[in-house]
Amino acid sequence: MDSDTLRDPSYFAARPSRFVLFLRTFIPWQLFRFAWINLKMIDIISRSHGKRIRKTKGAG
Amino acid sequence: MLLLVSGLVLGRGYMRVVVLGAGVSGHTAASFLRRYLPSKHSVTVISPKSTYNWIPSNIWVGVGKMRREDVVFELAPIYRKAGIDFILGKATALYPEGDLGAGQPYVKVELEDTTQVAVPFDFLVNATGPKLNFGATKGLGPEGFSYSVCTDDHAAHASEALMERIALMKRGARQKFLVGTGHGMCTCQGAAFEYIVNLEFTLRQAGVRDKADIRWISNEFELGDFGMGGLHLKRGGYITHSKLFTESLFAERGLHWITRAHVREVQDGRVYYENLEGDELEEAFDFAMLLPPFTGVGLQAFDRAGGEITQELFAPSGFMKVDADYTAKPFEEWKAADWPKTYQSKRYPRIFATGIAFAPPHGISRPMKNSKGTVITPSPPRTGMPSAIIGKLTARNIAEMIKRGVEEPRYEASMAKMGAACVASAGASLLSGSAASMTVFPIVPDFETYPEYGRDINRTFGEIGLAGHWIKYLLHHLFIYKAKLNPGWPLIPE
Repeated sequence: MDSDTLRDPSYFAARPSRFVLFLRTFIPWQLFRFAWINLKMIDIISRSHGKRIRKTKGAG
Repeated sequence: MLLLVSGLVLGRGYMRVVVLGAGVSGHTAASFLRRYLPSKHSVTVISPKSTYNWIPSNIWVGVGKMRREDVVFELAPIYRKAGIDFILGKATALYPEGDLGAGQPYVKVELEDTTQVAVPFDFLVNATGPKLNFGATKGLGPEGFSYSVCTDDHAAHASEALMERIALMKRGARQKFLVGTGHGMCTCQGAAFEYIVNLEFTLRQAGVRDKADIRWISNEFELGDFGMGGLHLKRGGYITHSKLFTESLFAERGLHWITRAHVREVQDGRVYYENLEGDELEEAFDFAMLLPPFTGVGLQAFDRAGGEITQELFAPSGFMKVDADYTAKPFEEWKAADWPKTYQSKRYPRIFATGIAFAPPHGISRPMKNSKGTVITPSPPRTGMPSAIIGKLTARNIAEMIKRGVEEPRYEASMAKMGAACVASAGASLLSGSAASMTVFPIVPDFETYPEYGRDINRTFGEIGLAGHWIKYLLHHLFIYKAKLNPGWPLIPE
């Protein structure tokens, strides 16, 4: 290992294992993740479209 | 100057709602205004561009995976069908009180043939988006020495140049690519992130990856900041920062990175930058895609007597002040409550600013400057999902104000109470592609509600995989279908 390698921050980064890389394009697993990610996103979308303003007592 | 009363023959009690801009926020606002308001009220869109551009897919145009025609369409036929008036022109000045000649508030617009017209309004939505401020860095941008994917034209231009580089590499030449931000105060790091990983994927598919050195340069303090101060994610039994998530992807793809950088100048084949330590450095490149900083589009404002009130309506950045707390305060005193809730102008309650056009109260990332006083901090993002949600919220509020005859908005949606779902493409292929799917809640950290990380850790997550690409591809078609106002469009969420 040369000193340039040690100066490169990418040397210290976490890298995925071969199994993780395999799962990233393994169709059955990705179909499941597709459904799961969509559910997560629907949850976020449903919470993010604003709400009716509640007036505090005495205001307005 | 002509006084242009656009639209239908309007009866008594009608209101004229004018929307400046036909981007994600303006187009969403106009579409929902037309849906919510009875036809006796008019909705008019003023835009300097005749087309709608689904900007998130510009990344794929920029690497040659899509054609320019796949991400744009003509607005006039869509608006004609929907009953929205469309003026092709550039708004240059606001007269929110009218002037001594006309008591009616109006917008001064320069048409394509440079004719000046006045478009009267009762309610105004400022959704102009940003000015792409390439001029802030010498030599930056398509008219200088770097490329951009901010518009469909820029992306198509970048793609042509990239194909030339790939041809050179196929003949054996090595090429150095530089991707990131072209100024210390840029935002939209997410778009640059998508471009660099798509670029790497494209070079791999072309069989020339071994001939390419690809480097990232950005104003982020750490990778994965994205102008949101980064985020913590729950993954694999750990709570990790987006820095680790992003570094891991870059390391896996063999991408090197420079952070904390303010690009001062771009020359042919070389950028000059300074970092937070104050060092002045340079980096060579054969192809650079560097995003510009944003400013407001330069709208001026005048009161009834003709006195300029631009500084009262707009922040120094050129973005419009709304119901945020703009008091200057140190980072430690920033609060979620500083962020606007209704996007209504405090001085003129019938004027709203949505999407990128509203002035944020401050950044989200911790502000940093070097010993020379150069600010090197990402500006806060307001694009994509929040931009569309704010557009819809504003339409809802204006429709309620008109129907109920009140001056107060009825609904609120602060970015400190709003989440975002983001899919960042990392390679476009239906079987071997991938994307980083992320959710964040809320966008602006709220350390009073979530003291540890500022966000709900159960609703903030990220993962990379093919499923993300499928979602990104579906969203491309769904959002273009929706933007064309095809049947059932309101059912597709923002």
